Amino acid sequence: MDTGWKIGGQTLKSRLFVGSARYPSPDLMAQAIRASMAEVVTVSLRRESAANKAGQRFWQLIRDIGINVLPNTAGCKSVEEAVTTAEMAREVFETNWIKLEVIGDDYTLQPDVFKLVEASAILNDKGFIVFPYTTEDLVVARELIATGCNILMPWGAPIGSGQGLNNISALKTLRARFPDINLLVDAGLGAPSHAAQAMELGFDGVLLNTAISEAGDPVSMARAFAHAVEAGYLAANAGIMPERDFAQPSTPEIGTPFWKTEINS
Amino acid sequence: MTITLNGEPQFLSDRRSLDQLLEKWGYNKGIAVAVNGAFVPRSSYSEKVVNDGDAIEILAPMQGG
Repeated sequence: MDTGWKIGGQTLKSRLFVGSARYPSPDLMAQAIRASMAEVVTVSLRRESAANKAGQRFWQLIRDIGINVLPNTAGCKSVEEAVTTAEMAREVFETNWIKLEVIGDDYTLQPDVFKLVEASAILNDKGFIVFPYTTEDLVVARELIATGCNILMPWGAPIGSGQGLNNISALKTLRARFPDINLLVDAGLGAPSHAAQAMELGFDGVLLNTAISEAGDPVSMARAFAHAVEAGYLAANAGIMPERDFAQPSTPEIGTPFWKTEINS
Repeated sequence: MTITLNGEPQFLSDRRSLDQLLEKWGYNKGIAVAVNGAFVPRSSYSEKVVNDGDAIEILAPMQGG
């Protein structure tokens, strides 16, 4: 059993971070978040008219769940937008955590890693705890760490694609090269097995949204992901057996019945 | 004078501080404000005067991934 781990100044038990978007209803969102046992949920900011208090209702719902919030800068395409959004989120959500997203391509929602590094430097200087949504690129990871990040969130696959881990080799490299950095796979996971796989690689956690919110039964899927993350974490720490090219009987051969030496004529 | 509020043009008869405008528009809590792309902390609302042509963004919590 995982006794707890530290990230961004908090001690958590769960290694699953979940999103709050794209649920069929607010009620199902709340039920699924609770079922996931997650202790961190991602949230966002959008324009709000004075007449429509949807934002306040949503925020109250999240507060009622009693969970850490990780605000994002989703939709930002420039350093300035991302920094301003982060400052606004810090005031509204009363946290210095920020999931930093600077999108560079509309079709893949691939992070603009150059602007990401620039924004990360500014936000670290302003006292934020930056959770950068990045690619699996090793040198970008190193640059982000140089700006003050001790958390990295490389993508598994494009946001909402459900493809799983598209570049396992690079993710393994990140783990091997940055053993002391909190690494979470963020985005692209579809099935619980993808989450288990990320954890088996030695990642500290996973962040996902659509895989739960767009499941046929989000509450059951939330539970499934909770088990998968726990299973993958336990497996990584238990030590996974090495692969072999050939079979090796699992049943001991000593005393095999009806065994006799074959005599070649 | 004309300003934009969340991308929509708004006509104002005179220059006012941000806290007067927020009250006039009916905003109270749980929002954050940027003027011309720069964050304005809550503590500065009363001293921040809104000028002709300013673009005001008022954001509130919403679902996110």
